[in-house]
Amino acid sequence: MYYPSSFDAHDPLLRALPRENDWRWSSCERALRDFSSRGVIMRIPIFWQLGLPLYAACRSLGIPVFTNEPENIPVGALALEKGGLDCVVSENRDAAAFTEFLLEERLPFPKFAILIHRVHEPEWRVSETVRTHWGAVAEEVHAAPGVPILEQCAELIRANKSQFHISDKDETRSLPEYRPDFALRETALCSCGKSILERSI
Amino acid sequence: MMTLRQLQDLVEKCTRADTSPFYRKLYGMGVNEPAKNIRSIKEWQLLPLFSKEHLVDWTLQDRVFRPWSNIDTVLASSGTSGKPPVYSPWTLNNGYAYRAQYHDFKKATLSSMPTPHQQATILSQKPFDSSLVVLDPRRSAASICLAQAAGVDSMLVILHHIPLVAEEMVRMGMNENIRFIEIAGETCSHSSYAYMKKMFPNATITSIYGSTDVETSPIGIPCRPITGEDPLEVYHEGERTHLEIVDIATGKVLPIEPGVEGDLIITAYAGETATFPLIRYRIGDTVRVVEKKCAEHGAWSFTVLGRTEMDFLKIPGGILRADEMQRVLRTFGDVVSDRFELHRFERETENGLKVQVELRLQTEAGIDLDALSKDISKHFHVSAAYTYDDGVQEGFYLPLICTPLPPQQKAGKHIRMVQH
Repeated sequence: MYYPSSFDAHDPLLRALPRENDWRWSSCERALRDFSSRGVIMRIPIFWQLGLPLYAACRSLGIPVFTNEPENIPVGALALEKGGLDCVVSENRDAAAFTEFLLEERLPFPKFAILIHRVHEPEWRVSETVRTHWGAVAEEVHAAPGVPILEQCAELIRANKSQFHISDKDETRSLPEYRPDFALRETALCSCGKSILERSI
Repeated sequence: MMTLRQLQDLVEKCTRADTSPFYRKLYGMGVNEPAKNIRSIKEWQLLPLFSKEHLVDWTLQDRVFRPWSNIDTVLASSGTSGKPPVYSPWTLNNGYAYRAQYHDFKKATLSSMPTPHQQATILSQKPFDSSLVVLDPRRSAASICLAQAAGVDSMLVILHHIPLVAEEMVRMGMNENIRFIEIAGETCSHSSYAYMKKMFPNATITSIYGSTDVETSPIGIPCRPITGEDPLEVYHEGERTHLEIVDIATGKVLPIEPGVEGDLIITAYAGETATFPLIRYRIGDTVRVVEKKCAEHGAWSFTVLGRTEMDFLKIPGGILRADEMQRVLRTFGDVVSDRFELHRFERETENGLKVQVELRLQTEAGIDLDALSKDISKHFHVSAAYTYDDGVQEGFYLPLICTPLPPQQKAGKHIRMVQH
């Protein structure tokens, strides 16, 4: 399988990143299981190729996935009501606009969401509108699409804060251009046994 | 083709009191009424037809038959007609074994079909051994960059995505690597076929007939590759599908004889795992019977002529909708009439195949048709925030042109949407 090395389709440095065919998006699968999702609306760019591992995660849990282009908010929003789906997998940057539409149209909010932060964004902050209206929100920081470097366990998700654990598997070695431009501080030890980290820069 | 026995079983299963109430309500059955038991084809033909309008008001969870966990993909009808989307459940359905006669699928495949994840699963299993790259039509260059790295030599694509893919693949020098193309989504014109042959000279081209509403897609399996011979696309029905043709006006079942034309009625049952079997579903397409018994497959074959009640046409990045054109024309007051024909052409240009729209309409004498064309183009939305003129400015479409409606077509209500 090949995944893009960049989130941005117009990035001149974009290249194809080879991954094993059976690569699993385990943090996503775990979060969907922990929060008993009924079905997923995938609202991330299709060219990221994450639909395939997301589909595999959903199959292992016996739940369906619906692919919704991020630009097509109305069809994705209506799927929460008419499609019987209750979970959204999205970029964090798109979540606020989606919420505004749900508010305007008086549609149900997701009961659970997995929101992806791009690593080079100046901050990893979920909007207050999303925090207020949506159910539980899991956050992940990716170095490239499908390369999570920070993720959350069920306890951190329930804490409803942008605090993270280091991902189990460091796959950033496959990204030669990757240079971390953030700093983390350890705040406590989580009941799951991992350090709780917050962004400090 | 389903046997009478299979149809009987299907109706009985779908009208039991302890299952989804969809068909019980559709057939007006009482609360304590036992499941329906049809005894003959004649009784089968008396079952009411239904269409997308009957599905719009149902939530998916209220109408599914089998455990929710059987659904692996949810698809939405595109909303192209301006009506609310219908969300349809799909279980993993492998009706694609016919592909092996056209291509080996040992290298990677590029797909923009609505169920790419199912396609990836199917193509990774024997007799195939292919991986899939999913085409993002909004970011086609990035998708094709991945396709090149993966060594793609086949494509499963929606027809109107072909120009996006072709231009990028030619630019990257990989178009001649493509050995197989399966198209879907709309009927293929001779100009589209000629364009594909020119851009992908080494590809065998076939098409399938399917729908997001129909879990057992493909509804129509290609009888032969597209070769330029008329009719371009010829299909026979899939294994778990029962097709009928009815008179468009009366709904009466028509005989399967070469040349017979009518509205296609679909019964589709994906087997025990099916989450929403379709019983006599009017999909809204007009078809023509090609052969009563195809020499190669032994089944009757058909070609799709187009939408029965055509009120929209697809174009890259949007939809030409009749009601939207009516809205625009009304803003011009008495200068133009409500009567019009909207013709969609594909024109070969030095920058590839482009859509051009010709609007035939009645106008007041002395109207400057060029100025009118530009004005309409600026107000005619092809999606919520995108006008036809936006597409012209960005080089996706050729300018809209207005021409007079021929005099013999001026009487009475007259709106036509025509794809060339």
